[in-house]
Amino acid sequence: MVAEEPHVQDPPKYVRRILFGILPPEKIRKMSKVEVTTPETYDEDGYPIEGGVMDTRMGVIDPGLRCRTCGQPAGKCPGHFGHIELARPVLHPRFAERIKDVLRATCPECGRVRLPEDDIEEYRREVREGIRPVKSIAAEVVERAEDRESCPHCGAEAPKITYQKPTTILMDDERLWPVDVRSWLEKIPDGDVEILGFHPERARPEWAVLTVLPVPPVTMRPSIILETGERAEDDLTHKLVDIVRVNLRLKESLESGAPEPIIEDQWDLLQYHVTTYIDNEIGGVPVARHRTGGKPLKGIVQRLKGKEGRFRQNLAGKRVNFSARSVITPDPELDPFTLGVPKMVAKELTVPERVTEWNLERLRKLVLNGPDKYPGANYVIKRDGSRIRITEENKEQVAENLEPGDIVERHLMDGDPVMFNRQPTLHVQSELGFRTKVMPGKTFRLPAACYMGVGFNADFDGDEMNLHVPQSEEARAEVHELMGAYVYHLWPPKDGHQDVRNSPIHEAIVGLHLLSRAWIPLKEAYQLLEEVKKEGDWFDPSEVELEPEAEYSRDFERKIHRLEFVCGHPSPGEPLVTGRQLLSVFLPEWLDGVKIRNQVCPEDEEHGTVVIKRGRIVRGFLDEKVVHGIMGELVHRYAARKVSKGEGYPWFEAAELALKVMDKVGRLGLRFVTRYGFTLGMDELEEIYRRFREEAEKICRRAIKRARKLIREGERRLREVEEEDVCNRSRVERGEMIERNIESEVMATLDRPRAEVERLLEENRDLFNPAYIMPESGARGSITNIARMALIGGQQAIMGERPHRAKHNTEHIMEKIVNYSYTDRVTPHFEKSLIPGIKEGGFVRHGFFEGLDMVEYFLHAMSGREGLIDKGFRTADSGYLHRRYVTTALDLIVDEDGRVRDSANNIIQLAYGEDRVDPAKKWGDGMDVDRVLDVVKEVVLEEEEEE
Amino acid sequence: MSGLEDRIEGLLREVCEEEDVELPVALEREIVERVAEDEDLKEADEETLRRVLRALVRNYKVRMIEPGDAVGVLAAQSMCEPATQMTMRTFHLAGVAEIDVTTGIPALERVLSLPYQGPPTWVIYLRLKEPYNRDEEKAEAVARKIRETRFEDLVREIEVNPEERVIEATLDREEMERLGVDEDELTEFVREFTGGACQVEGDTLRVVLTDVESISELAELANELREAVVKGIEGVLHASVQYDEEEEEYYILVRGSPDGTSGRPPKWISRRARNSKVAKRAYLMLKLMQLDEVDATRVNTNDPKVIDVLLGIEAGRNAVIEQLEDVYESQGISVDRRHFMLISDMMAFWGELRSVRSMGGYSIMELKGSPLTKAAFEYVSRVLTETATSGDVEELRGILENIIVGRPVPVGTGTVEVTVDYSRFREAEEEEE
Amino acid sequence: MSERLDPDVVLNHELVPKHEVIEDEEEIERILEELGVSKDDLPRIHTNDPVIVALSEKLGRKIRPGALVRIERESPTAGKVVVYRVVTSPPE
Repeated sequence: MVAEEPHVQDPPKYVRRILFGILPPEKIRKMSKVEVTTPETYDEDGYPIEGGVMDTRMGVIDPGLRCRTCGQPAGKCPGHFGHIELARPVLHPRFAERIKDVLRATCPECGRVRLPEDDIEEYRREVREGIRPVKSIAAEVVERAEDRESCPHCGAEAPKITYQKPTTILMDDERLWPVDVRSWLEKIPDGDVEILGFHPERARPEWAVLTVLPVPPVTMRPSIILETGERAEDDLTHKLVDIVRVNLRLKESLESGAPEPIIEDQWDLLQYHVTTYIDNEIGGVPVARHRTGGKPLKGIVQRLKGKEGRFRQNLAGKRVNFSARSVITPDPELDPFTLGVPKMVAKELTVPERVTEWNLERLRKLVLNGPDKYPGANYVIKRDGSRIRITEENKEQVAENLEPGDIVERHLMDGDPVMFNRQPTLHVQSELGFRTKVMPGKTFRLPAACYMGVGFNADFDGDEMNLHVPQSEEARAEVHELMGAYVYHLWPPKDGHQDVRNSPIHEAIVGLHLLSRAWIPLKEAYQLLEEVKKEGDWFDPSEVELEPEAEYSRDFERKIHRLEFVCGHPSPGEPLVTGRQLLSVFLPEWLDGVKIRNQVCPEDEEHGTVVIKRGRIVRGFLDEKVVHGIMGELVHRYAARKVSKGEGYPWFEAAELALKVMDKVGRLGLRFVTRYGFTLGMDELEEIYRRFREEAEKICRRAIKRARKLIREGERRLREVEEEDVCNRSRVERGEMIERNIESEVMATLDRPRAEVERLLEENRDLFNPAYIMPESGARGSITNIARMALIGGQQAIMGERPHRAKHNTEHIMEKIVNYSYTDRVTPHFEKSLIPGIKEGGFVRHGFFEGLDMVEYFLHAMSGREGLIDKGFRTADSGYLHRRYVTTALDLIVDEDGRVRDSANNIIQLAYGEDRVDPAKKWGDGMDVDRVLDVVKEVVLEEEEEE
Repeated sequence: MSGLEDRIEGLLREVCEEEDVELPVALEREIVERVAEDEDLKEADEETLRRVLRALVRNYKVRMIEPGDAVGVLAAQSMCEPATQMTMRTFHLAGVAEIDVTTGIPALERVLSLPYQGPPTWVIYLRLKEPYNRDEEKAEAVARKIRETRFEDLVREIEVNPEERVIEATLDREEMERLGVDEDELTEFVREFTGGACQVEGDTLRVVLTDVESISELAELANELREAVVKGIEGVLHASVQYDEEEEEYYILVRGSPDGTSGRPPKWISRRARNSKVAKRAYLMLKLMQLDEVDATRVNTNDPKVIDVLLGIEAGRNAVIEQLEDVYESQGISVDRRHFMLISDMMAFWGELRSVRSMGGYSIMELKGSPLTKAAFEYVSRVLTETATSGDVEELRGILENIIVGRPVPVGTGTVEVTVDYSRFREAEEEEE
Repeated sequence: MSERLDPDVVLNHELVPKHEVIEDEEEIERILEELGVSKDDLPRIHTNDPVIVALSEKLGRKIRPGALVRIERESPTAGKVVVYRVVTSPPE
């Protein structure tokens, strides 16, 4: 093959810069292909009329017709502009206010700005040097100039300019018509134009008075065929028709010498149509509506703004090809960062692969399989750019003609990198790179052992997620490397390793926790390892040698730790291993000197702290905190080792390693808990209920008694205030203050029982009861959940307070109690009172196990509803905040010197975070010198030994 | 610093030279100390020490933020993603029902958008000088002194007698005592305020106004008198004494009125604040800081804009960070502080705190945004009109505009081009032959 | 009650880090070169910033736009860190 310098025919062009301005009439005429003169659209045969609004020289939308300007058919023709010669000039509605300002600031005779020459020069300098924003300079100029009564340059007197929204201007109380406005503006010299906020070359003020109206191409305002077969025109087309019609009439009136008032009316009408055409929501003018239905028309501005406008809906974000969406389901067998892709998706979304002498055979085979047989291919693109669709009939021919330089769009295959995302995309981990694994079925499959859904905030109750297939080698590399297993995706930049995301969760953690407390018969241990192994895995159980730590004897249970237990039914003499040993199988030898205090029994002398020496878990019970800690240790120690040895950038490998290990660990946990069994049902709750019910009762009674007293006291005091026969602010305030204080005390009193019960539960933990195991190990839930299920619902809160009746206003305190029917009690079940009672105030004595009574249930539901509403607001509010914040901070990038700069090159931070540390890669607060030093010392010692 | 530490520090500097890295001050210190006190390295020779130090420095290098990282987006996302977990409710502050500070998203919102009217619950922490901060009673006295007390708080009824041109009010002795106002103080005040003769007979206060002409004038004066601030500083809605366990001292928690205080703020405040509401609040804080009993160097508030106006941009920046940390902490969410630092530095870049929200000309976006970004972000038609009028140029340097236009974004891999070195190909070919 | 805050209060306030004004052109050049940045890129501090005003008072003269301010912050991440700001006049 010849290696030539690449040459591209028709190199693609890209936009380098965009200049903004106002379109001058010459340019409008020049770019136009048609002058639109008649308001008719189509003729009797349905063919667009010449010189009409739908003229074919402006583009075609009907299939079958060809554009008369460029000759392309309907799909390809981009459309061309036309123009309308306005009989009389009209003000552009959006520039009207600016025009008004300019008129106020300049002289009608000489056109100069009404300020002394020196000042004008000074301002011009400021504009050119860009010291101040042009807007503020222009504002100042106008403000100063408009006050002047005469022109310093020619002496003419300054007229009074009045402005009526949206487009009417009066000079000395007489209508100043656009044609005169234009000639005035034309007088303004370029130098003065600058200081008025306009641009002498790109935006001269007189161009804001339209003499020619550009007509957008047909493709920009296509007509649609309704179900009835009729043709409906686009809103813009309607307005254009209106404009042409009125324009025509005005022209006729002018030519036939009609009386002034008629001309003025028609002129105003023309102005109105042009105004609403451009912006139909402009104030001061009736909204133009559809003839039928009265729906407001969409003007040009309406097309652009808002969430569904051009910018946000079609430009900053777009619909894309090569994407797929489906429901997600879990799969414990999948490796981390591997995604189960339905076969039908793989056949539709293709990867473009360029044929070379080295892959020719492989790709030929794919082409031969054709589009229907997987793995196959759908299209071939030849070197000349032609696109061949592979079909059953032509696949052999195409395969034979396949040559290097062609591109084959082949089906998605195992190992291909893809982007996987769940909306809302709130952070980095909402969109990750995965390796494809094509599977039968219709759902996307997420690895569940070392659970990957956490970052996405995905659960499997029907969530759907999106897939995108990268289409270039560069993109593939980026997805694979940067979006795949990388330290960012184990730990968010939010808080580094202190906030682990993708790790074993739920059942896996329960399994790991129990495993670390278990003694297992050797045989079963090996069985478990077999179950963990996957086909084609790096892990081979037959290579593992487990040394039994003990032999079972009849009194074995008495000899082990109080929290440990024996699995299965071993016979005396049978060799046993500990779960910790099993787990250690997967830990690398260099993982050493790790000490992590657990959260399940941190004070326990023997097993409160997990200690890992040379890859073995020497002691300690596992829980969520420990598991996360181990992940952190794995990644950071690995990285520290690699770096200390001088081996370069460690983060990809470190992440992959950690995931590999944790995948196995997670699977082990799952297999163990499956085997051992775990459940949480009524029996477990009943046990807790029976044990603590009496004590809980006592606690409640105490609190209720105290609360009752407080309420009585409080009501008495309030009545005292009420009876005061005065009328000032302090009395009202005092009443409110008393009420607030009582409520807060009562609430605190009644909230205590739940907290006390929780404490009671905590102090009497039974770590053999699943109800405790789940929360204490960190798998799911908290003691509060157990307390509420088994024993007591506790004090309900709405808006931070006890439920109360409709908020009384100050009149209540000021006057005697008036019979507001619903306002003196929470529900009609209770007597009227000044302060809600115990149950009335939302104190729920029962737990779910016993069941709540009617009132308790209702009030609890109210509180629950508040939570849901809160969540709704939160979503919207945080979404808006997110958008604003992200858009503002978008362009803050780190430069080569570690400085944070924005798109204007401003230095926001001389050193990122002041210490230049990446929060995702931090160990501890930045760099944990102690632990790094440990690793470093080890490595250095090793190195020195070798020498 | 011992000799050993000096040596290590020297070696460390050399290693840093070689590795072309500058360590942050605190880290350098820590490394030197730890290595010096390490048991295993006591006998180590220079070579070993060098190795160790080099490995440590490389470990720092590898944890550094990388050029091209879109740090702004990361900070924004890291802060906003947990916001979806935040509750919206207000939390009661230290059991003081009148002063409960909002937390959660509304609080976050207000720190970032810096609304002119200030936080929904504006609080000022007044630290006191000795001996006021050690004695609860003394502190109470100060609180009483500054709390805004209006005439109507001290009287029960106000009657107007137009024929005699007299205003009569029934004194509320209890309240007067509670709020610490005595009769003479009150009569003096009324005398000054109304310009009329004022006397107290029993529990009735009588003001005779001779130069009032009409009934309506009299009624108006009575109204003004009713609302007049007799004692304390106007704007101090509540003042309560709190105890700081950590510092072991008493301080005063003040709830400020969003309208600030009475009187015209000094020019320098008005100029720096740019907005009258902000200026009035800053003025209130100034008044409070100037009290003799107050330790002005330790006064704080939950409104960063006021801090910016009174104490400068750096202080304002620190106030923003502090407020942000508080919000997240109170919600139990931990976010690395570098993200807070970045956003506050962004807000502080221009020399005064700028808001994240678009606020009529003074937000961050409006200052630096390019036409297309602004159009995509906010009021499309206004932006386009202004851009067209001034003939602005879109240089396509930011992120959004490149997306709109369809170019690769100038971030990370977008700043880099990949090419093939064809000479290598030819070499390989030649070798084959 | 005075209309201004005592400069010592401003400079010693717990939220205010140490500010040092650098007006010597050569010195400024040197710093900019060492940092490898240009003056326009640096963050700003206004002439009416209370700290600048307080320092002006102490120095007995006005601090002009274009001067550099060296700020030594206590950093929770790096211990101590030095940042610079350029003195500018506030916009209208």
